[in-house]
Amino acid sequence: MKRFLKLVLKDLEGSRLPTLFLSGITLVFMAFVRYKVSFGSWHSQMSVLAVALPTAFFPLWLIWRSFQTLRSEWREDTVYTLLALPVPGWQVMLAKLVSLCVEYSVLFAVTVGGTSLFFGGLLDELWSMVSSLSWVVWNGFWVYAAGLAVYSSLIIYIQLAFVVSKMVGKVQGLVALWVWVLASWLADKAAVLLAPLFRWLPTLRLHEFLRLNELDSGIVFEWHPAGQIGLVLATVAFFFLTGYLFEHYVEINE
Amino acid sequence: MKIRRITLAILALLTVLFVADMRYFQPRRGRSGQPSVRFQVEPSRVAHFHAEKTQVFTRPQGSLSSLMLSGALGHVELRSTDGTELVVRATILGETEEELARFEVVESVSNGEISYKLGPQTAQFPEVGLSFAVEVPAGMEVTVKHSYGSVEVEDFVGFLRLLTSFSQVTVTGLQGSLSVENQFGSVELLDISGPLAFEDAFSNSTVLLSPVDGGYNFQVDVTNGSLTGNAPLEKEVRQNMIKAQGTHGEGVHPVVIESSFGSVNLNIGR
Repeated sequence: MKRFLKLVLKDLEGSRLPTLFLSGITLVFMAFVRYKVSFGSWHSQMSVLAVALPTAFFPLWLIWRSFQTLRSEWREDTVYTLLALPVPGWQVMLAKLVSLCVEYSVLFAVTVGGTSLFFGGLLDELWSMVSSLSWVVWNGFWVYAAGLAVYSSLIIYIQLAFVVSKMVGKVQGLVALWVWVLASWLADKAAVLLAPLFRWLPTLRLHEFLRLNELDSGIVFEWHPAGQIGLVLATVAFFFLTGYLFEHYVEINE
Repeated sequence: MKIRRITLAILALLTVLFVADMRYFQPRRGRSGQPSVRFQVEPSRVAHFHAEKTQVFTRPQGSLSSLMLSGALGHVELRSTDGTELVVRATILGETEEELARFEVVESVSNGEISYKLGPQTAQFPEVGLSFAVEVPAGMEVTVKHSYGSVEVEDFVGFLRLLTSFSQVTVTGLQGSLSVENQFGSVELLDISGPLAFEDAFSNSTVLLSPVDGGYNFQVDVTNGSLTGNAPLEKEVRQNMIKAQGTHGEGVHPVVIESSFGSVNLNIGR
């Protein structure tokens, strides 16, 4: 556990500067837009831009970071040290996954915090629609959690693609891209094939769970998870496969 | 080197399977494609008003070729008659009589089109609601815009266009041409004889076409939803999308349906 935590700290150390820089830029940009709006230079609708821009950019940034955290190990020749450590491959991958999730959390908090801080006063119409602060916090948390789940699975596919690409000699970029496509296809197949096994699961009434009826009593939002169970299982399997390949085969080919 | 060869062999094998799957197994024909997520907003926002004011407009059809009704938070009833008079009974719905005094239904005529909507221009739903009960001469072109309420059309003959949202829409016994654009709520189009263009999102819809001379030509696209019914359709299912086409009889009358995040039940009567 101690070794694993050290790995996490090492990866967090690596992501500290870029994350702080990006957070700072975002907050400065939001403050600048708020300043312009307050003094009437820009229309208040421009505040949407200040929120939309980081919201659109951060996912791309995080995808790049998922790739970059592994790439830098090869580029800086630290991958040999990493392989020599007495920790299993899956823990190395998990450490990177955890540090990237922390990065996601920080950027999410910066976006939400910055929006509340600089544009909260301009969202009166939005506040009048929601029933209470607890409703906002509850649903905000689940938006965060859903984003985290999607991003985590994306990291796992990128890690698999990257590690497999290091097992072939040439055109590693293309191989990584192709492995990503094949892995997505396999996961989709697993989801389709395993769905009948999980038909017995109950339909989840998300409109009750997320208290959407406080917005409008007519909202119905239901999810039957049978079709996604195979996807989750395949993603978990890919995670351990990546760790295994990283631990046993990558070094031989470098 | 051995690992490299094994990796490449596995990737090649998976690629072959992937290509075969794309080529021969997708789209899978005939799969219903039930969605795992259902999101819908029922039309429950109709306010409970305590006061109402009714205005009746009676006009000879004359040179009028089309009618436009704009309402919300109320009920629309429309039917065709054999006569030549257009009768529009408009009811403004509000909380109090005093409140209603500020509003009236405005009639305007332009280029052969007569229209009815809430006035003055600053009037806004959902402060008040507006219902219609309308009789139109057969063959007329009618457009109904309505939100948060219900629309009921019976025995209509002519060209009908419905632009609705958050509403329960029922059309029964239409002869002519029907165009529906709907978001949220539910749509029932029963005993329809003639071409149909139907765009729908976030709602459940049922379509029952009556057999007609010339038959029907179907083009149906359903995204993130399901498609059922006895219409003779050749379905192609891709991920979350169902594309279906087919003909009934000679395939003269086009039936074009585009639906997303909802269910479509498409049938042909006997």
